[in-house]
Amino acid sequence: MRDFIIPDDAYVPASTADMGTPPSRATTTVTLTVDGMPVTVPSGTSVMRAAAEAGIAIPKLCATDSMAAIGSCRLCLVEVEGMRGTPASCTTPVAEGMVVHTESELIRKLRRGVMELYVSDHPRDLLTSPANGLDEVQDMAAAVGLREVRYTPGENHVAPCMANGEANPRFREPDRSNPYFTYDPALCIVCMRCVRACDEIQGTFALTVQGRGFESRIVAGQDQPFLNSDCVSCGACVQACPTGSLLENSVAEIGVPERTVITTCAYCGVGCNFEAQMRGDQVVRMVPWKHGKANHGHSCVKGRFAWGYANHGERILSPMVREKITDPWRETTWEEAITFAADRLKAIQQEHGIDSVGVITSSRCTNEETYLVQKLARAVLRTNNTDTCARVCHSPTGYGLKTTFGTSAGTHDFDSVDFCDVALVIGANPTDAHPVFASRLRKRLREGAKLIVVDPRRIDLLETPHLGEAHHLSIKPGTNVAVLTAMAHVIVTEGLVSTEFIRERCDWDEYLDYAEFLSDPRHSPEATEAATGVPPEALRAAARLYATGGNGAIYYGLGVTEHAQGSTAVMAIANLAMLTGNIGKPGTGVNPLRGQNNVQGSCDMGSFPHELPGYRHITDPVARDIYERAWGVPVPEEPGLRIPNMFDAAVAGAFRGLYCQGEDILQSDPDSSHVAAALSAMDCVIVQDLFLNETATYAHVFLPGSTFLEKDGTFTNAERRINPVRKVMAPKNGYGDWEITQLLANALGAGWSYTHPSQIMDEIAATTPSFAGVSFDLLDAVGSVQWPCNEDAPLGTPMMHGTGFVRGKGKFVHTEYVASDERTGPRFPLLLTTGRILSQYNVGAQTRRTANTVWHDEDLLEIHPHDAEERGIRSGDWVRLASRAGATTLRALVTARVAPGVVYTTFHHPTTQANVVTTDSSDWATNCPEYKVTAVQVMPSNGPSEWQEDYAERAEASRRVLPLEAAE
Amino acid sequence: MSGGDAKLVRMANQIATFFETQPGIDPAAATAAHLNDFWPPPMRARLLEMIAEGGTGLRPAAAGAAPLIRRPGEAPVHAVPVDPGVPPVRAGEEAAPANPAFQSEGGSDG
Repeated sequence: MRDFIIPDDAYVPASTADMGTPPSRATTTVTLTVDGMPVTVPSGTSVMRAAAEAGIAIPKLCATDSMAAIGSCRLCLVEVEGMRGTPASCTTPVAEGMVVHTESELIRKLRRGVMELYVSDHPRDLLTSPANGLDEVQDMAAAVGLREVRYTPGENHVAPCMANGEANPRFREPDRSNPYFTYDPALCIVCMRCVRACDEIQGTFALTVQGRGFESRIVAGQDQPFLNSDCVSCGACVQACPTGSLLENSVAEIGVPERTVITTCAYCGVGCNFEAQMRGDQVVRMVPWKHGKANHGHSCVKGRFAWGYANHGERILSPMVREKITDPWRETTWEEAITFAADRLKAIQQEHGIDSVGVITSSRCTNEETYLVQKLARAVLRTNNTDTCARVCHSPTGYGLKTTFGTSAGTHDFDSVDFCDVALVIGANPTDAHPVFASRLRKRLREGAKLIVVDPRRIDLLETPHLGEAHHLSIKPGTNVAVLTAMAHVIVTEGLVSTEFIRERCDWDEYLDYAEFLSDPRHSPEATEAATGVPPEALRAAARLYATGGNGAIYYGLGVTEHAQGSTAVMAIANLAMLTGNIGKPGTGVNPLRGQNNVQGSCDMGSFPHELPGYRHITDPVARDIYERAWGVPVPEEPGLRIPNMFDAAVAGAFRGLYCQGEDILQSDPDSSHVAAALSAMDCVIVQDLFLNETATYAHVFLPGSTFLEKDGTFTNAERRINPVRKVMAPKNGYGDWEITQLLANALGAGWSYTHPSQIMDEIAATTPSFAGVSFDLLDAVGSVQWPCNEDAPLGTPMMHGTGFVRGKGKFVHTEYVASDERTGPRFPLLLTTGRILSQYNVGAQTRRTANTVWHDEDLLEIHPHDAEERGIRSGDWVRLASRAGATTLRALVTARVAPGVVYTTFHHPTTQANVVTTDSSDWATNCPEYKVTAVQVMPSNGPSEWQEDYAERAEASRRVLPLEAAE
Repeated sequence: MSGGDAKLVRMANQIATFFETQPGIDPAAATAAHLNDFWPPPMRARLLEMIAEGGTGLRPAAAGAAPLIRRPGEAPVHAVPVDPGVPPVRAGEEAAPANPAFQSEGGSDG
């Protein structure tokens, strides 16, 4: 926090201009003249970009500033004094004293000749084409002053029929296989922008140019429909296409957008900035913002395309109540619903005590909304019974990194990946769960960085095209600590530690103590192999590479945290970074990849029952005093119930009222039967959500929530970046979520009077030192900031622990491997681990209500061929998946991606309910559930499990709604 | 033992197991500090009752934590030390870890 690096790509809100070629990173500058104007630019800049800097737009078709120039379209020709011919300005670097002319009689003639050829094989009449207004061929024809086309109609790719009336063999019907965009080959000019975007930006290499010369055309995969190819529908090609040949279907349906609002994606923890391109109050398309500091103009299929759930027919727009969960829902007014909820909470507290109620804040809502929900618990309900779904994903990150480094957050920004030499990816699947980060990492891997993956499953990152050296440590689920400690053993015993770093930044005696612990032969890879399943030589090679391969960056996910030893594994990771000095400089660090958009923020905002905003412990009288003065009420000093504790207390009858905002605990939390029993035991469950989610099956009050398009606020991504969320349309349900919480608080006597989320952020800034400098005005001015943002770091802190750890000296915590209680035996001989898939998000409430279901319409159980054969299971068969907690059925996918003895599934679909099977085993420090390890048995099946049948019946009964009129 | 009690024993034992592996600390004291920091009063109260009843199934560090576990309503056992001269809004953004087992000797300058 003491040193920070001011981001180099300065924010220019108005600048959406395409500069033609990417910026140069050089620090030396060159001065040239363009059309008589002197321009100074970094050396290595193209002539095209230098001209753009001077305000001169050189005509172009194949060049764009998001990818390297190839000089193919020959439209950007210029004259340079002293140079022969007419070089392409996109591929010509500037030189000192260069004199450039962008217009001359010769250049005009050449450009018209080029345009004439393009236009000869391009549709002339776009009046009723979806590409009308977007086709740069038209713009360039105008720019170069093309007035006539001398070529008579002949062979072309444009017309369905030839002059003689026969079908044109070169013409191809548009490819409409992708649900979100259409490829119309007639409009294509083969500029290769799409191919380069797929290769350079996304890294999938799904597109190519087939044929040569006049026969060349863009194809997906082996000339397949887009949907059947390797295409992951990230949309980079659509964004790159200059002609509208690749175009969003929404543009065809609605028309060309007329205004743009910069906002932030509401899916994963990468936190991509988007331009919401609007027509009236209708979103036409979401285009990743080129100045977005997490995504730099890239996105994935979810963020770019899967926002249609906001208008889905199943969205609930009217508040609803019911006396009992067996009653049908009754639509009602906001006033009645809020009064109903408040009265019930008050009655419960009167009868059963202050601590008989609690709240769950949402990692999908904004910081401001989360702050208000925990404030509602602490200041209005007067209890610390507040928790957030971060409990069930990254709470061990908070505990582990705070203990070792002193701060509960990742250390680096995503830009740092450009400087890493070795990426150690542990328990994360970035290509599916954090796709934009994965693309940035893949770019670095193509540049030669080396990869180490620690995962029970062979993740797609290992299939990166042009991947160089890569190691896969395929571990048995639940043995992370043994593997990480064994890596540290190798580093210490082979003398690969960075003694200089440790002497300066850590406690030397503590290190010696830890080194002695590590050196014990029981931690050697040879000794741990029996438990971990990792061959010792593979582990040694990986450890050596991480320690000696240059800048080593660790990226980890829920495969680390969601274990009985999750917190210990996080500390083992921190230890590895400190032992090797891989922290405090670009390209290194310990970087948790957060699952949901605002997991970091919901933790920052004091959602946990033991912490006030800014991670200040609830027993800290100084911190409590700040809030007691701000809120004017005493703040309770005892830690409250965590989510699993709430369920246990509910089953025991002590916890009876819950306000749950934007989280589907029934589907997402482990041991669904236990969660259902807990929810059924409560007197009042208030669910605030977009849809009647699974939790709402057990709710008494349903408060319709708003989407990220309908409110102002901020999300904080995995790199601590506070990103603005901006309202682009009025909330269809009538209120932003922060307003609903305020209504409920005021019905409970709070007397709040916020009129805009910026006021809530002002309160956060005034009370939380790490947010002291944050305001909506600052975000409007600079785009986004990374906390800590305060007097010492007015523009935020991209990299933490630069010269010293927040806690002072880095702390080596001993990391003894303890086998999980959740282990295989004769009844449950396999280990189940869970994860995500690219096209779906979390419980699927949003993505299942979009066309993303074409890629994944059910959860499948991945099982190794050996285990499948033993059980007589083939791909596509229905199988029963059972654990000590429960059983479900789903279809099998036989694949060697999982190791023998391991099965894997996703949890996106409520009909599968993978969490019926997961158990109550949890992390020792934080109660984060051990989702990643469940002992199971798999057997062929021909029907749904008992739970699935009962649940389907109950869910259907529970979703009956009596409309408002009928209730009167 | 009821399911809830068995779960408390398992969780307390998990915590004790961790602190038993840490050097130079009293595992019982660290376990107590962790419980005071993270367990709500009803869970601590039930654990204390179970320890008083003999602590069946609890590891030594968990059972031995009893004297240092904060009884609901008592003053905090391990309050974060506060310097009266420090202004309410501190320069660093985070308090030190509350568990003394993790407080560094050199003190935090964050």
